[in-house]
Amino acid sequence: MLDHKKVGISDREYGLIKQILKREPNDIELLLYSAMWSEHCGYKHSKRLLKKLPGGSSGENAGFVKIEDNFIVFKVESHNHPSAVEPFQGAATGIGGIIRDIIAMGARPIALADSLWFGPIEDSQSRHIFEGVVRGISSYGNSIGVPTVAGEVHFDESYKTNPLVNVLALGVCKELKSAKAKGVGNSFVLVGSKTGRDGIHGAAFASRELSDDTDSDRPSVQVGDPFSEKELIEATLEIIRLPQVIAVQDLGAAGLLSSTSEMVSKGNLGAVLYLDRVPLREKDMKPEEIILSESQERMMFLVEKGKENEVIEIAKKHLLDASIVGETTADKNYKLIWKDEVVANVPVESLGEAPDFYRKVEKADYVEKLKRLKIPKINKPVSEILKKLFSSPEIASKKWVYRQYDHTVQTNTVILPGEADSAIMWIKNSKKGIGLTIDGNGRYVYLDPFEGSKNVVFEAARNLVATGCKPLGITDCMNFGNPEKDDVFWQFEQSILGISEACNSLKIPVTGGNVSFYNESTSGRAIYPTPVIGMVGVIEDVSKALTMSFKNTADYVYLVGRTSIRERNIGGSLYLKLLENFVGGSIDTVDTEYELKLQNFILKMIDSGVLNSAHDVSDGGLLTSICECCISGNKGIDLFFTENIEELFGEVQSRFVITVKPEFTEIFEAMAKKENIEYLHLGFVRSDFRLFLNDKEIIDFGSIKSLYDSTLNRWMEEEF
Amino acid sequence: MNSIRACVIVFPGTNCDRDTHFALSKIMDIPTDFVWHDFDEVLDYDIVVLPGGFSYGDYIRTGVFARFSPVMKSVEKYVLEERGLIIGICNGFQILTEAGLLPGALTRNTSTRFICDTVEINVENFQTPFTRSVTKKNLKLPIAHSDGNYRISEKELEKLKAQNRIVFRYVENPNGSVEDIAGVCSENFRILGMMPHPERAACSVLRNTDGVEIFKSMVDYLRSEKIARS
Amino acid sequence: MRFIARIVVEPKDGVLDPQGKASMKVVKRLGYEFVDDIRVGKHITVEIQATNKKMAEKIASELAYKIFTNPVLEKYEVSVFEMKKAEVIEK
Repeated sequence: MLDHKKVGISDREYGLIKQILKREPNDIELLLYSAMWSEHCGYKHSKRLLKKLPGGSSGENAGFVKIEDNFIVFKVESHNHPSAVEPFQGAATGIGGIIRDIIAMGARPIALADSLWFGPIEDSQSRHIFEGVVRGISSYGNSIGVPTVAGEVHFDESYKTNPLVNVLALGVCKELKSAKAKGVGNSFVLVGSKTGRDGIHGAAFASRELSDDTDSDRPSVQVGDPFSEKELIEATLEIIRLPQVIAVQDLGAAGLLSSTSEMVSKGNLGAVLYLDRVPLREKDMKPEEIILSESQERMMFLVEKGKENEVIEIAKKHLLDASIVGETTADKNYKLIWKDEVVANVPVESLGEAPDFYRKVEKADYVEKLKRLKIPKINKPVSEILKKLFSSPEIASKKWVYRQYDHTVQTNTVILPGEADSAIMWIKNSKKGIGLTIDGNGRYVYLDPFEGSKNVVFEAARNLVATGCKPLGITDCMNFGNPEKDDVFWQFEQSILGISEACNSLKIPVTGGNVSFYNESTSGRAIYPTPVIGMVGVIEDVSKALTMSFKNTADYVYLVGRTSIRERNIGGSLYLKLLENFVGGSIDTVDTEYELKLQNFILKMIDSGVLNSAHDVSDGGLLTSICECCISGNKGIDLFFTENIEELFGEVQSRFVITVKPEFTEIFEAMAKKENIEYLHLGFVRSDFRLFLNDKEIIDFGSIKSLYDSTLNRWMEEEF
Repeated sequence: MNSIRACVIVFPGTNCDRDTHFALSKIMDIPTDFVWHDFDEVLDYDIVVLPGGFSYGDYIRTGVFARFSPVMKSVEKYVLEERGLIIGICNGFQILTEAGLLPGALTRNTSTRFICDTVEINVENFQTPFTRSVTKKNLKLPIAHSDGNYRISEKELEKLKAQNRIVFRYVENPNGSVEDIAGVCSENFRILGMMPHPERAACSVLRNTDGVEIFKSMVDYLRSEKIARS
Repeated sequence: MRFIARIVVEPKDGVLDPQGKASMKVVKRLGYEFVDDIRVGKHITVEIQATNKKMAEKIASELAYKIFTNPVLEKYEVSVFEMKKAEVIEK
């Protein structure tokens, strides 16, 4: 007999299982519960809170928003722990997994985006992980022909041994496919790669703090096969068009078990699976290894009995294995058969009903302590601060990264990486485009989990708005520490509430997402609470898509929105972290009503063609944003503004830097006044590549640009 | 007017088939079919495209497995019978060199990394069926490859130059290709292999239409040839 | 003394080998019915100066483990030969 505690089942849970079965479980049954009731599959600590998010999940593989008759299906997922152990394969299989979520909905994947968080770039192990993760995404995403069009990369001590690898996939279809089983006696057809001992018990693995010795975790690592994935995409999209295909589900965490049990649970049915009919890659696999295997590149189809051949033929055409491995039953039990013997038989619903570990916790003490810290005054010349910021990998160009990702395949990418705050994908045969951005800010959320999380959502919305896209919906990836610790659980609860409030005021749904707990360093210190928001929007006319670059000499430069910093609410600002290693003080908060008015105003201005550029003001504050616009457009600026360091580099919410053609400035100012939007005329675009502040030359952009362009290259291509 | 017809060959792992099909059928208005890799009959088309992608995952060596697909027998016949024009783009170029239909080989970029960018290429020969209608001295086209580093023996290189078969050169060499070569053609000028992707620069929505010049050249050439033959 | 070490790195048993798998599909299609399995690895040749063969083997094994193998996914074999005088002089 297995010891239930060794497979992550507590005494309390074991008691529950006995109650459900009215007997002792056998070893295989115990393993089924262990996998399905793991945090990763069972959402024990998060499920009650996740219900508070608006527009709730569809209960399907991924959520969606609609643009006319197109379903835009999208979802973000974490692959943090696998990437810590084996960066290349961890990131690669992360892409594979999220892509299968999209195709399971019947959508063709058209874009990928990723949010990556590593330890300091000065640390060689962090660079090793960074290199491996980027190569993994590049290798897998490029091969399957899905462009990686957006993303963010961050470096902070907090993520040193626990990197975050969050990947988002987006697909489009005219008709959705369901994962809900229907009808008794229909066949489960497994299509894709053969099953091996890959990632046995990976679901439980993902929900465990990384032990000191990553070597011992190694046998769990799965290997990605992008070639099979590409064929699986094509085969799946072909198979789901067959009328006899009732339901489809990808095989992810807990493999065959979670896919089939979830399909029949949704349909109020039971299932019987014949494990010896699963095509195997390795000899002598035990039944529990087959049912729990997390071998990649597999999909499950529920097909009307007797009509399976067409499905199998399509799989063969795409060089994939396919076999009938089981059927639906009326008895609502989940039954496994191995060599003509029943090896497990449990009520299927109970597998999906992991106990609820929600608990009420007190506000974490650290928050008030950090709030009281005095924001340090910085007495350095502006040029020096700029150099420091632009040579940090946080601000520096990410071209070293996105140049390794195919971002133009599928010929829909209207706005390329680096050109603007969000990507825009053209919907072919229409004028419309889909805006896509992914964003997080661990410092803000650490300092104020509720307001910080709200800020992250609004910032993602501003990213879309700056390109001309109206926000439609979000997907969230909640990266937190160990939820059994009170501080972490409090952060999580506050963050969910903050996201929820922001989405309610934006009137957009959270269509789905993912929770990743147990993100801790080897010493047990939790990462910054890092909710990552993937947001999708729409632009009615892609020809109006706007980039951030300053375009024409003598254009008027304006700051729109909050025109001054508020009561020194600039805690969490990046310049404080980079110059003083200071993380403290109060963060700025969003005035929801004002924010919405501002976003609508910017959208209206872009649509009417008044603006020549727009950029959301975020990391590094106002001057950093202005410099980014100059570098991107190869232009300079004559800036008339205070020389106060806090005003120049402090981060507050609800601001855009825009340029307006001289002939439109009157209209622009009149409109802003009419709508009660604050603005400040900052100056004019210069033809040469120089920064003037109040008629004094501060810096030649050439020197900043070379730092901006070379920083990542220098760290990653030169020997250290 | 004789109408021009094209086909796009799809190998397992090809991923630019739909993009190329879109450019030819929707932008160029050429009736275009997909042809699956196990097709072994006569290729009755004026244009045959071997598109980009990762045929067979690019495992072992780019293009090597695709080269053994049944459709390549049909392609070889198509070449022998001089039925029409063949253009191999990116992975298609790699397959053509593996199949011996174009000289040289494409190996790992000197950076050892995948490179996705937009590059400028100079048109070196304006007389080929693929460049005769090009109006610009150089074209801006996207590249996206790990193995675009063109290698060729010295003897063969001299021959290429003597016969004026280097069609495109990079303005700034991204991958280490010998003599900045971005595209070459066969002795009879009916087969072109190139690493940059003209189909990714074919549509005004994407703010670059330089690739159209190449497709337009092919159509113009084929039309004039048809008129001459009839 | 100079030695040549030949290191062969292959995917571990049980670890998915996408290249081997794809090779199998093509090889079967080309009619090689009697080919049962293909594993794709890499071959590395290292020249080593050492006082004896044991030491050369130790160095080669260390390189194989530390650098050329990803122990998560791959295994290795090392064989070491003494270089003939002529070979050494040529260099």
